Amino acid sequence: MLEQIIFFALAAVAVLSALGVVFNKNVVHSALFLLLNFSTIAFLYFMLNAQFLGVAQILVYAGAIVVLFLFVVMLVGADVGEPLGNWLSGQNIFLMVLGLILLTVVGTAVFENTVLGAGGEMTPEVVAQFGQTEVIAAALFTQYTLPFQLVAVLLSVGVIGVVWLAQHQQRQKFRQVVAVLDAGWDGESQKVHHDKLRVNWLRRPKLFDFDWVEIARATDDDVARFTRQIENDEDRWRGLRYPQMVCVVSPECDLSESTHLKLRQMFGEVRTADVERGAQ
Amino acid sequence: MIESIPLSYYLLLSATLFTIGAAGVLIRRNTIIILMCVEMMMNAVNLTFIAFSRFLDSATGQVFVFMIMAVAAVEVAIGLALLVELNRHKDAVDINQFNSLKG
Repeated sequence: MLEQIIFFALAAVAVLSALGVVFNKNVVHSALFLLLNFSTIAFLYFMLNAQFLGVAQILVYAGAIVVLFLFVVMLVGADVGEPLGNWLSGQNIFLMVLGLILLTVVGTAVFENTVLGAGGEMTPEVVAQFGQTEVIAAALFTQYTLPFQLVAVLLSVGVIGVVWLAQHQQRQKFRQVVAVLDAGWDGESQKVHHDKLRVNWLRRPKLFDFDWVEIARATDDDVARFTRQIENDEDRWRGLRYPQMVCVVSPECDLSESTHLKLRQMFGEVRTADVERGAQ
Repeated sequence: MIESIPLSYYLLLSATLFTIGAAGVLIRRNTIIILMCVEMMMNAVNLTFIAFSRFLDSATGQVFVFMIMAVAAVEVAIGLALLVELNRHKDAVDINQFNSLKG
């Protein structure tokens, strides 16, 4: 009787927390409901006399996987919850009905066919004599050695894949990207000098991720258009970088004092120096 | 050993959890939630394995669950790494936004 009460309580918590994962606007709350769901299933494992896997469930699922989910929610931003306003759209109702049909079919199959085959090696007597973990280990290391090794290979491949994915997004081809304002620059709008990418803004008048500015041959008008675009830039990471940038102005370009003032306000440092020219 | 709870109760619970997970994958559009629901479905299957292992007195089901756990851990790690990378490209987690391989 006590066992039944515990079972039904755990089952109710498991189903409600599963519904909480699905029908929750906040992603963090969903992750916490997932934690509750995994924990109740671990307790069900204990009830089913699978203590080793119950502990593994808590370690792997409730520990590692939920922490990973929470970590990614933190990285991606927790304010990404989708609005639940149109929950009862025709498509969703259709999908829920589909789910109920699936449940009915599976449930009927379960109740109609519960014929068990012959008993296996893990009888209560064997478990009492050797202990449960030993029985699992014996199966894992004798009968299932090859799958066990394949799982090890799979884990290694997974580690390598994740490291590659994480490294790939940081690999940058250029050490420095320079925005050049050079009216006498013909041909291509960008040139590569060793590990430096020089892009002529006058030929490609759009903002990009640069970290150095060079004004070689430009009029006050060109510089005014350039600074106006930077002022209207809505990218907040680039916006943080502009006050730290260096802007080099060639002495041969005849800019007015107000333009110089504007550049000094916008960038961290304005130098007057010779600027490498593009092709004539 | 007292067997007051029949096997079918465990199977029905596991079917319910699996269905909720499947419905979540179909209904939600947030990629993180979809991955969570996939994990819930795997857990439901694990529960079936353990229940059968208990009622058949067999260690095979538990060995299977052990391996499924390793696969699930790898799957979550790779899936979330892909999600972070996709989010960097598109600045979104809505699965409807990820409809082209060009990124």
